[in-house]
Order: sequence, then C-alpha cells, then structure tokens
Amino acid sequence: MAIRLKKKHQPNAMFQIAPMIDVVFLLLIYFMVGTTIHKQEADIRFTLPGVAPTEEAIDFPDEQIIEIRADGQVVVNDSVYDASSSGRLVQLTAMLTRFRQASEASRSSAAVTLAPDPAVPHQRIVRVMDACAAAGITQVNFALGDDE
Amino acid sequence: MAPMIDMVFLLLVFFMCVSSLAQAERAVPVELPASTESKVPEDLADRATITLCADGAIFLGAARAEPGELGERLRRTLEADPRTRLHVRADATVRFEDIRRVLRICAEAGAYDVIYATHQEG
Repeated sequence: MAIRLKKKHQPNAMFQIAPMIDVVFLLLIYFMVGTTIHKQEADIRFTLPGVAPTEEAIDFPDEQIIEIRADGQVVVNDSVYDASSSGRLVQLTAMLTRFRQASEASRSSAAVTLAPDPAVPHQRIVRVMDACAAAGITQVNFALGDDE
Repeated sequence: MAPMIDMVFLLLVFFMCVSSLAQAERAVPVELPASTESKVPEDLADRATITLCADGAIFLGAARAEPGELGERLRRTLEADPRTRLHVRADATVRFEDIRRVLRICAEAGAYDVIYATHQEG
C-alpha cells in the first residue's frame, strides 16, 4: 500500500502526447471553420481614362462602347444583348469573344469602354466586367463623362 | 520538448494575429458584388482601399472620408508611393453615380490602376 502511494506522487516525467494532439486538432478545426466563414475577396481590374500627356504615338485599339441602361439592359451599337434579369451575360460574352478574335486577326488590341447609366447598381456593372473577362478582353475602361 | 511546443504555438498564434491585423485596413464591412471571373490576389501590396457603403458613406482605409478631402488624401498617398493601386470595395447595391464620383476623384488625383473587390462565385 505504502509503495503504491509513493508511486502515485511521483511526477510523471513522460511527455504526454495525447492531450497535445487534442489541442492541435481543436486549433486546426477552429481555424478551418474560421477561414471558411470568412469569405475571401477577389479582384477584377480596370483602368481609368488618363489625362497624362503622351509623347509617343499611340496605337489606337479597336474599341466597343457597352452601354448599361438603368433597368440593367446591356446595349452595344444600338442592339440589346442580354435581358435585364440575366445573371450570366451569355450573348454579350459571345459577341465580345468574336470582337476580340476579329481584333487579334487585324493585329490590334480589343478595348471596351463601359458607359453605365448613373442609376445602375454596382452588381450589374461587375456582371458586365465578368463578361469582358470571360471573352478575354483585358482593357476595360469607364466613361466618366459629366454629371448631367 | 513541451516548452518548445508551447513556444512554437505562441509564435504561430502571434504571426497569425499580425497577418490578420495587416489586412485590417479593409475591415469596413460591405456586401460585395458576386463575380465569376475575378481572381483572389496573391499580391496585396501597394493598395489604397476605398470603401463605398450602401448608405453612401466613403472610407479611405478604415477612416471615414468626405468626397471633398478624398482627392487631396489620395494625391498625398500617390506622392508617397506612385505604384499605389486603388482598391475599390463598393457595396453591390451602390449606384454607378456614387462610384463614378469616386472614380473621377481618383482619375483627377492621378490613380488609373483600379481594382474592384468582389466575392467569387460559380
């Protein structure tokens, strides 16, 4: 009996790996859940019309002006491409892809200028920029115009 | 062994906190638009973040900015680092006229390289 008690009070010099694994897994799961809940932000790029003076001759790229009406309709050269409710702009993407291929065939670069109505929500503009990116057009610009 | 693991975890947690604090500038919560073609960036350097909330409030970094002073502050940022890219975080419901006002201030301040923040979908 006395020997047993003595053994009980001896400090355990062994390194306990099981509780450490418990804690590690807990931390792992905590951070996994934390990162999935926190949605990552992604980028979509464009350039603004510059006012900087240029000395060199500029290659004028082929340019299309995409109009976005207040109700969300997308209009290029007076023809409507996708209904105002459609999420993915399939017709616009197809048209822009043909436009880019035609520009590449004539060895110039395809550029797009967006001219949204002032009342267009941001989501709709991003959808149109998606269509440009899907068609492979990297030069996207905004017509800032004047306040009416 | 055990003290070493303690230290390793302490360092791990420390660096995780620091890296999340480094991105705290983008902390103003907005409902970003969904996008299918956007990419999650690897390079987060040289960014000036402008946030447009649904109620029309504008933030430069984490601080509230009025449209009048925005241009001046952007110009100073660009002078300090000409490679600065603008990172525009606009709420999905913000109307283009509000974004256009900010974009025009940016163009006047000399920032032409602009990035819209979105959430990936699909």
